[in-house]
This record gives sequence, structure tokens and C-alpha cells, in this order.
Amino acid sequence: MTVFSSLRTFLDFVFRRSQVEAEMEEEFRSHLRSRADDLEHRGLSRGEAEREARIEFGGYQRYKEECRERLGTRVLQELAADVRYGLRQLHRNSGVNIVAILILALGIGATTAMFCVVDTVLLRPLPYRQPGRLVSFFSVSAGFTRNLPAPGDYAYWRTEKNIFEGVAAVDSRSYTLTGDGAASEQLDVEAVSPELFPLLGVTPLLGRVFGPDENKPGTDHVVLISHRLWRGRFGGDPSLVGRSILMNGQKWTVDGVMRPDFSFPFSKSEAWIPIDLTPEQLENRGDHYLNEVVGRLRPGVTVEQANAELLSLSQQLAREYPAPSNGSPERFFVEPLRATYTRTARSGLLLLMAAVTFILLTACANVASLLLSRIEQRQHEITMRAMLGASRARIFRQLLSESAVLAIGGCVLGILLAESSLGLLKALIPADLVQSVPLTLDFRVLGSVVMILLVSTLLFGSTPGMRALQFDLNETLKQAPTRTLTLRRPRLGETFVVAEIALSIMLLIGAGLLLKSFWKLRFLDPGFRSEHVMTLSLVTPTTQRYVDFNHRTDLFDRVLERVRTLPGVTAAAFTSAAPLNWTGGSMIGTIPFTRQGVVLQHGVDRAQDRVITPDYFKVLQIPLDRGRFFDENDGPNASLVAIVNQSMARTYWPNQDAIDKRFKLGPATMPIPWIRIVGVVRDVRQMGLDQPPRPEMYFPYKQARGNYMVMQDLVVRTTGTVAGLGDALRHLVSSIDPDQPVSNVMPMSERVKHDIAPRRLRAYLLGGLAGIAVALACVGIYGVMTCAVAQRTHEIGICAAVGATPHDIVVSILGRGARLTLLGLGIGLAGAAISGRLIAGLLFGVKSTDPLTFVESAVLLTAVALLACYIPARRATKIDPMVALRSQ
Amino acid sequence: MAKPTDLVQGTLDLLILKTISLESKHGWAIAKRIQQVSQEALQIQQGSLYPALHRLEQQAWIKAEWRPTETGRMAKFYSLTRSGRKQLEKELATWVRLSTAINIVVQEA
Repeated sequence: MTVFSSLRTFLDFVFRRSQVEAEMEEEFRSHLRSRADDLEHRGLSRGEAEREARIEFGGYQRYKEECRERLGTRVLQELAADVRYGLRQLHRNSGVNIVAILILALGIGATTAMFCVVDTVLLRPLPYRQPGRLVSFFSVSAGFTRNLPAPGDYAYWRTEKNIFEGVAAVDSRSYTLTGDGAASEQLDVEAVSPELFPLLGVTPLLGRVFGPDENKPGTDHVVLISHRLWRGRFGGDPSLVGRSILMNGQKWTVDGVMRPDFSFPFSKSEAWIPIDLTPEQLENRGDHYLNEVVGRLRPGVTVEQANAELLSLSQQLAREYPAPSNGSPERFFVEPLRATYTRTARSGLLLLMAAVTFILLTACANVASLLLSRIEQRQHEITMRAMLGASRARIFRQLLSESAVLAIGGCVLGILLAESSLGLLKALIPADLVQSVPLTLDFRVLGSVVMILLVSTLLFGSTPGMRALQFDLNETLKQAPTRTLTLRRPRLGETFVVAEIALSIMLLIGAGLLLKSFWKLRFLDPGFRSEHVMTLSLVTPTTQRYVDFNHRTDLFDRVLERVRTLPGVTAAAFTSAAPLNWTGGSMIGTIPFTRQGVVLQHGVDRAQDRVITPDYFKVLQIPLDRGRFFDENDGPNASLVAIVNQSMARTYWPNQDAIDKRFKLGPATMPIPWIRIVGVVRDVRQMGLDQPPRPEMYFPYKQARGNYMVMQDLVVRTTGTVAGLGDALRHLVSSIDPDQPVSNVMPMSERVKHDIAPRRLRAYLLGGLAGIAVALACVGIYGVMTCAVAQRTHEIGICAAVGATPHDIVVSILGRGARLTLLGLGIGLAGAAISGRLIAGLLFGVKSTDPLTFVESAVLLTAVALLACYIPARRATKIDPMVALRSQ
Repeated sequence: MAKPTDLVQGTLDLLILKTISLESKHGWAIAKRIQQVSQEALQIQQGSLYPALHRLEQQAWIKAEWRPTETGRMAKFYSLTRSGRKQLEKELATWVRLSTAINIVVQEA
């Protein structure tokens, strides 16, 4: 049979079936008429001739059927009939089937959506050339396990030509973009080694990337801009390449425009300029401020080999430069670039993926037992069909197509569910990957959905189907009038229930642990009060006119003065970094200092420094532990003072009163004045709620000239709501200086929320999934118990007749449910204890084997499961013994 | 399922192809022709012709068209296609070889 003709037949069947049928009919009739004509010629009457012709022709319908079979349309017709029958069945049991379809849709939808996210984050290659060979560098130093690299370290790494094809450094900066008639804008600009682009293997959309010498003074005012910036601010004008733009009041020539998916190393990176590391900087191994150092391994070199090499390099360096006496020697390591991006997200994603897989399995098990119980109820009908001559294959196919109808319904709904939940799940993607790997439902995922569909159809369609066919025709017929006796004890259903309970308890415990971690952080005292506080960034030094200290001070004073007059504002202050503005555990922003009267053998003491205006502690309500706050008297001509946090006092002046102790920002021999500590304030979770506080020192801004960090964050406390305050502040700043950009406008409480958002999302998602799993387990156990009660109607009737009280009956049925539940609980608790370490990295302030969580989850699940058993048990007590006995 | 015809398995196709090789014929005419030519020796169940015709059409060896018969009734006329003609030659060759072989065996015995 040629492909073409079968295709034609198929199309004929689909589009003109009735015509094919009519034609067949007409052909047969024409034959009969011709034969009758013939016979009439021989002298028969018309009626007899027609009768004779029919007899000669033989089985009219049979030949039609054979013709259909020859045409290959019979299978299709049967399938259509099966599907129609399936739909009728669905309609008849619409309640059960809606539940089944919803359960399936939930399972398939959740799995598909999570798979999309996992695929996007963990599997899809980063948009760089051979991304598997890209690694990022870290330093273990100054008490940080993942410290940012120092330029001096980078200088050593790039000489390791045997392991790395190339090494490129990135220093993140902030520039103010002005000119071209639009409002000024604060840009995240990355200063990068020119070799970064060939190293990553990326090319620009327009123009060219930096040449190897474009970081030399004189040629280094060139910039590459992001696709987003180019489209947004410059309207996608191709002639921008070669022209110059104004950043920090200076002209930068646009060398090129990058492609839309390029945003390295952060998704908010807007422009790239050549890095200009001076020889002095390249010897600086103390200041760890390079935001990213990325390298490409030589072909064949593994990450382990690279790390072994780096370890021997760091040991060699440790001999040349002994470590500070208060710290361990510095050590370097690399890890795959993808691992850096997905470090925090990875374990959470895998956990959620495991959870949705559980849900899918539970959903399949539930639908299977649902179908199973329905097929058992239809055993009589199936037997009847078999008796009337249907082959087992035919019955099996019919049952399969019924479940296929369910599966397809579930799948379509599931895809819709997945599609609509992607928006929510987008938040699971690490922020810095969002730009490079967009989250979409792609073909591979759709393919996997089809796989899931096939597997689940086979799983829950054929299992009950197989069982339905394991009957002995004679035996079943003998019992035909008494339906209930043909039912078997639903062993398979009970197995499903035990598995569902085990999976649910594991998910419940996981969700419980994550929720507890989240609540611990949510209600953790961060050391400051975020309610009624508005924050924004006012990045000044980058605008030419404010390079001068006095001009800057003047701006800050004018802003503060005006802000204080806004209605509701009780206090306002500037700081170099509002809490949670820079997060993560790295050493960025620390400076060295020397304690008076303390001589270190090696190295230096370091602490983070903050420059603040006097009201800062008042705005954030950070309590004073000892001493005093800054006031207006701590001016440029007064003696230098500082306030330190408890961590700094404890670390550097242990068992002493830190008040009136002195230190200086530099070596003891440096001719600069000592700074006196006038106050100790409570620790603040500055770098992230889950990051332990580190030594910090605060300086009054009027004394902080020169090397200090520059203030940029404005914090404002109001008595009322912060809504609208942001706009008022924007307006206020632009009325003082229209060219001054305002960025990062956000209530402090938002920053706190933002900081724990990934944990909250994970905890709530897993909590939701655990809820679904528990609900599914309850549906499962309810189904099994209802079925059991239905089967035992007769038995229960006898018990009741011989004097069993309703109480006895309830206890007996609940007992059976409890046995299943406890078995499942035992398996699940053991599983949770064993797999606990998988989740350990995601927890905060709670152990993965937290007994309380285990007990709570077990109690909750047992209660819900017994409740699900209680409804059928109650029903059993309502059985009238007489009716039950008579039903035989 | 199908009741065995009185014909040797597979020969119905050959008979049909041969019968319509000269001119196109409708179902009843094919049956009549086979009976006449074989001098009533080959009796075929008329209805069983149609599944065979449909199969041959499915194989694209014959094609069909509706047109009036000499008595003015509409009927479906079947004729050979190019590949049907090749198939006829092939089946004829097979038949000749087979029948010769059977003859030899039968006469030897």
C-alpha cells in the first residue's frame, strides 16, 4: 500500500466518510440491479429477480465490513466509537472524571512548569562559546568563604597560562548618563578586561568589541552598551556607533551595541568600559573588590586540575606574603560559571522538581485507583462484552481509549496551567540569569510533556485494564447477579495509598522546614526597624560637579533640610550604604585600620565602614548599646570620632569597654590623627538577613573626607505611609538639581521582603505542593475506604445484625485506614530522615532532622487521613442490616 | 473472518486484473465475465468481489470511475493503472510457473 494512497484513505475517512460509505452502498445496489436486469431477461419477475440477485450476492453487510477493512478505515471507526463511548462514560461519571482530569492537570502542569524552570536554570547552556569551560574565581580570605577577588590575585591568575586560555576581570561601577535631552540616569557600568569578549565568545550586534589596547590611557574612553539601553534610551539608532555619549560628564565613544541576551556578569549591567588597572592596583592583594573574574579553561583541563594548581599557587603566595595573625592564609578556587549563577537556586530547584515529580506520581496513582475502582464496578459490563464475542484486545483498547480521553483532557489543561504559572515561577530564576536565558515553554519541554502523557496513560490506563481482563468468564458469569461479590480487595489501591502517604509526609516535612526557616528570618530582628522608612540612592561623585567635597556636602545638606519639611517626615539621613543594599557574603567595602597599642605580626585589621549623617540611627531606630550618637558638634574641626557595632567591639576589644578606645585608618606610623570611639550600636543585618553581622564602623560625614566611602543612600522615616513619599523625594531632588539622578527608590520594608523573597517563594511553593500531595493522599485513602465499605456492606450488615454497635463498626473501619496511614508514615518519616541533608543547605535556624517538624507533620497528616476515613466509616454505620442482608 | 472462496488463494486478484486488462468493467460485469470465460467452472461469490476490488484500488493497481452502463444504469467501472498492468504481468508469470510446476507433479504421480 503506497503511502500516498493510505494518506488519501485516511483523509477520505476524516473528511468525507459519509460519501465513501454512500458510494459503497451505491456500488452494491448497482451490482444488484444489473444482476436483476439479467435475471429478468431470463424470464423471472422483477421481484424474484431482485431476490435471487441478493441471494447470489451473499452477506451484504459482511462484504461492506470487509470493504471497510480493506480500506483500512475500520480501526479508525472503532477508535472513533471508543472515544465517543469514552466521552459518554466521562459524561455519565462527570464528578469522578472532573476530579481525575483536575488531578492529572495539576500533576502534569506542575511538572511541566518546574521542568521548564529547571531546564532554563540548570540545563540550557549559557549563551557563550563552549560555556562548560568557563569558570569564575573566588578567594577564601578574611573569614569569607567566597570572597571577591582582589586585583593582585587576578594579576597572578592570568599568568597561569597552562590552565587558562584567558582570564578577565570585571569591576562594577555606577555612572550617570546625561545629555541627549532625556532625564539623567544612573547606569550599572562594568569595567572589564578587553579580553573578556573573545574569552566569552560573544560578538556585538553592531560595531565592534574593545581592541586589546583600548584600556591604555588616552584610548580608554570607549563604551559598549546593552541592547536594552540602546533600544530604550537611544531608540535603536544604528548611527549611535562611533558617536559619543556623556557619562559622568565625560565623552565616551560608543564602540558597539551588544546582543539582547548579553548581560554579563549581572542582568542589570547596562554598559561595558575597558578596565584600567594600574601597576599599583595589580599588586593590591588586600582589597577584594573585583565583582567577577572569569576564566576559560584550556581544552582538557578539568576544574579539579585548575583548583589543584591554584592551591599550590596560593600556598606559594602564603610563604611570600604571610597571612594576618588573626586569619588563615588566603586560598583561591574556581568553579564552573553556571554553578556561580545557580549556587543558591540549584538545591531549591532540585527540591521543588523532586516535589512535583512526587505529585505527578501521586496524581497518576490516584487516577489509576480511581479508574480501577470504576472498572471493577463495570466488571459485569466488561464480562458481558466478552461474552458477546469482543476479543480481549478489543476490550483493552476500549478501556485504554477511555483513559486516553482523560489523559488528553488532563494534558491540555495541564499545559495551560504550566503556561500560566510560568510568570510566578520566573522568580525562581537567579536574578543574574534572567536576561541570558529567557523562560519559555519550548519544544523540548512540550516533547517531555508528551512523554509524561504517554507514560501516565500507559501507567494508569493499562494497569486497571490488565486487571479488568484477568477474569474467568465462567466464574464471573456465575456470579453475575451479585455484583458486589465480584469485587476483589483493592490491594493495588492500598499500595497506592501507602505510597501517597509516604510521599506526602516527606513533602510536608520539607515544606515545614522551609516555612520555619522563612519565618525565622521573617521575624528575625534585623537590628533596625524597616516600617515607615523610605530609601533611595543619590549617586553623586560620578557627576562632575560633585567631585568636590564641599559641593557634595552642600547638596546633602540642602536635600536633608528640604526633606525634613515634608509632611510626616520625622527624620532623614544619608549613609554610604543602607542595610541590604549590598548583599552577599564578601569583603567588598572593608577598609584596614590599626588599633592604638596593638601590634600585629602580619596583615591588618579590617572592618566595613559607613559614613552617615547624625540622624541615621534615629531613622532606622538602631539602638545604642553604650556611649553616645553623633551630633552636630562632630564637625570638620572637632576631634575625630567613630561609632562601632557590637561585633566590632567584641572582635577587636574583647572583654573591654570599646568606648574611648582609639584607632586610625592606616598603619600606626602614618601621620594621621587617631579616631576615638564614642558609641557602640547594636548589630545590624547589613549584608542579608541570613548573613551574620560583621565588624562595622560608622563615621560622621562632616569628618569623612578623602578615602572614605561616599554617601549615596538616603533614608527617611515618616509617621504615615511611605506610599507617595518616593515621588515626593524624586521631585524634591530634581527641584534642587535637575541633573542629579535618583535610583533605587524603595521602602525599607520592600528591601527586607526582597531579601527573603526567594526563601518565601520556595517555602510557599513547597508548602502548596505538600498541600496538594496531602489532598491527593486523602482522595486516595477516601476512595479506597469507600470502596472497602461498599464491598463489605453484607459483612457489616451481619455484624450489625448480631449486635455490633456503630462505634465498633467505625473503629473497625478506621483501624484499617489507620494501618495504611501508619505504614505510609513509617516509610515517609524514614525517607525524610535519610534525605534530610538534601535540604539542609536551604534551612536557616532549623535542623533538617528537627523532631518538632517531624511530629507536627505526622500528626497533621494522620488527622487528615483519619478524617478522610471517617466519612466512609460513618456511612457504614448507616447500613440497615435488613437491607444489607436482603441485597444478596 | 472472510469465508474462503472456492478459488485458490490469491487467484481472485489475478482473475480480476486479467478480466479488466482489455477494457474497464463494473463489478457485476467482472463476475459475469469470469463465469462465462471459465464456462461456469469458476463460481465466485459476487459480494466477495468487492473487498478484493477495494484492496486492489488501495494498492493503486486499479482505478475506478462512475459512468453509465450500456443499459443506462450508473455503475462504478474499474480499469488497470500502469502499475496494475505491471502487477498483472508479474502475477501471470508467477501463475504460469506455478501451474506448470503443479502439472508436472500431478502428471508424474
